[in-house]
Amino acid sequence: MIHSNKSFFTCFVLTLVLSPLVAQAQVKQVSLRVDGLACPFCAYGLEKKVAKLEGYTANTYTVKINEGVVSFDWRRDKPLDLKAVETAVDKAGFTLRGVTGRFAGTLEKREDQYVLRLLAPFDQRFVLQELSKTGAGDPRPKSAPALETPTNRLRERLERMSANGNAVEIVGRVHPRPDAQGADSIEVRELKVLEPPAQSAGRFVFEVKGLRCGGCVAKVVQALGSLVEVLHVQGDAEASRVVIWTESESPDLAALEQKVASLGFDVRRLGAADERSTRGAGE
Amino acid sequence: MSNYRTLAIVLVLGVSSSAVAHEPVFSLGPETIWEGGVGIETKFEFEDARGDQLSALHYEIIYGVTSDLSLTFELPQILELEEDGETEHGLGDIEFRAKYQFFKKDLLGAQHKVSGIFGVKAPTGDDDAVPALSTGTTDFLLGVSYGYESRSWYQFLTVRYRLRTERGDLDPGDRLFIDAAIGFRPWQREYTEWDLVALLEMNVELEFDSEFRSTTLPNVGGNTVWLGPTILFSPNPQWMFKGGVQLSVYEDLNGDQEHSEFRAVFAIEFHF
Repeated sequence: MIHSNKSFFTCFVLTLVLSPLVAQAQVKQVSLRVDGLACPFCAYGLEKKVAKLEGYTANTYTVKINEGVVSFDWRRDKPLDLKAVETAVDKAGFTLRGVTGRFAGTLEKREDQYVLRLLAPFDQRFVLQELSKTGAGDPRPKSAPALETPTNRLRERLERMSANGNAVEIVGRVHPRPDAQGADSIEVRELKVLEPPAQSAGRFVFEVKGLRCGGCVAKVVQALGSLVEVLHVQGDAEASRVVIWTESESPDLAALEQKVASLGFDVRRLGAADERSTRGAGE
Repeated sequence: MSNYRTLAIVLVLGVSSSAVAHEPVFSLGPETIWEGGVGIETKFEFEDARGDQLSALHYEIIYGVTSDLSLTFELPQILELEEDGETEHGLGDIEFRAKYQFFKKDLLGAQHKVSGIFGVKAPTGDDDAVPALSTGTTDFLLGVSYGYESRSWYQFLTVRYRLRTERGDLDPGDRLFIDAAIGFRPWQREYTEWDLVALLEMNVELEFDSEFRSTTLPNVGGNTVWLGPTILFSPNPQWMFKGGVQLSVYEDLNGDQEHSEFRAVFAIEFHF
C-alpha cells in the first residue's frame, strides 16, 4: 500500500530542480518517497533492488537520505509498473510512501475526465486528478499556502491543451488504480506544453493534409512520438503542419511519412523554401 | 581443575557475536539484509577474560532470504588461545544463525525493528587440543533484539540466552546476555559520502551455575558487566569498518576466579 506523506512534493520538486533533464523520454524521471532510510550503508540495498526494475536507467540512481527521496531516470520503452516499484522497495526492507514522476504524453478528454496517454511504444494511460486542497490528496502541510494551480484553472489549461493536441509534460504523484479495471492516476502538480529538446540532431517539417482538430494532431503526435528516433513532435492543425525533432541527422524519413500516412493523412516533407513560405508549428 | 579450564575456554569461545551494518559489535542486533543480499564480514577479536587470552578471526557470511529473514554462517579461526602458558590455534566451533524481523515501523529517516534470533553452534573445533578449541557441545542461542535507527540516534536492546548442552559429566551453566547500546551520528552525510556512527555499548553477562556429576562447581560462573565505545565507519555504501573496546566495569564471580580485563573487536564488512 502506498501511503501519503506531507513533505513528499517539496522533496520531489527540489530533486527535479536539481536534476538534469534527460531526452524526451515518456516517463522521464521517477522519484520515490521512502521511509526507513537512515544511513548510506543501509540504503545500498534499495539501490540494488531499484536497479532491477525493468524501467530503471543505469547510473541514474540518486538518494537524498535526509528527505527520504530516491530518484532515477526511467527507460523510454518501459511502462511504469507501480506494483513492481512497491515490491522492490519492500524487498529492500523499506516502506514506499509515494511515487512521483515526470511524464510526457498527449491529453484525451473522456466524459468529465482527462487522460494522459504516454508518448511511448506501449499504451499506458493515466487518469489526471486535480490536486485536492485537503485530505489524503494533498501531501503538503495544512499550513501551506494555497496551491498555485487551483482546480478550476487546471481544468481550463487541460481543456486548452487537449484541444490543441500537442504533447504535454506533467509532474505529479502517481496513485495506483483502484481496481484491476481502472487506470493508475496522476495527481497533477505541474503542467506545461512539452517543449522541443534543447539539443537535437535533426528537425524536419511535414505538411499533413487532413489535420482538422486537436484530436488529429494528438494522433500524429502519438504515432510519431512513440518512435525511438523521434525526440519530439509538434503539430498545428490550422497550418496543417507537423514538426519533428530527431536524434540523428538522417532518420528514415520515409518511415516517418509512412507512419503518418498509415493514419489516413496525406503527408509531404517540406523543404526549407516551403517552410519559409508558411508559418506554423515549431516556429 | 581441568573442568574449570574447560569452562574457562567455553567462556572465551562463547561470547563471540557478530554484527550487521550499524549493530553493536559486541552483541547481535535486529538488522537483516535485503532480499537476495549478501554480506561478508571478517572480524578480529581479542579478549583477556578471566586469565585466558584469545585472539581470533571470525569469517561470517549473511544472506537475505527475504528482507525480514536473514541467515548467517560464522566460522571462527582461533589465532591463539593461551592458557597456563600453553597455546593452541586452529578452527573453532562454527555457528549458524537465523534472524527474523517480526516487527518494523518505518518513519522518515528512521526505523524501529524487532527481530527474533535463533542460533546453533556445532562442536567443530578440536576438542582434544590443549587448550581445547571447542566447547565440545552443541549449543543453542535464542534471543530477541529491538533497534531504533535514525539519522541522528541509535538505540539497541537485546536479550540473548545461550543454552548449553551437557558434555560427559559436565553440565555447563547456561548464559544470559542483556545488551544495550546507544549511539549517534555526528554528521549527517548523504548517500555516496562517508558515514560515521559512534556507539556506547553495555553488555551484562550472567552465567548460571555449572555442575560436574551433579555437584555445583564453586569457582565457575557469575556476572560481568562490560562497557565501552564502538566506532562504525563506512567510506561508501558498500564497506564498513568497525572497532570497539570494552572494559569489565563490574564483576560478581562465583568463588575464586581471575577477573576479566578487556576485550576488543575490529571488523570489516562488505555487502553486495
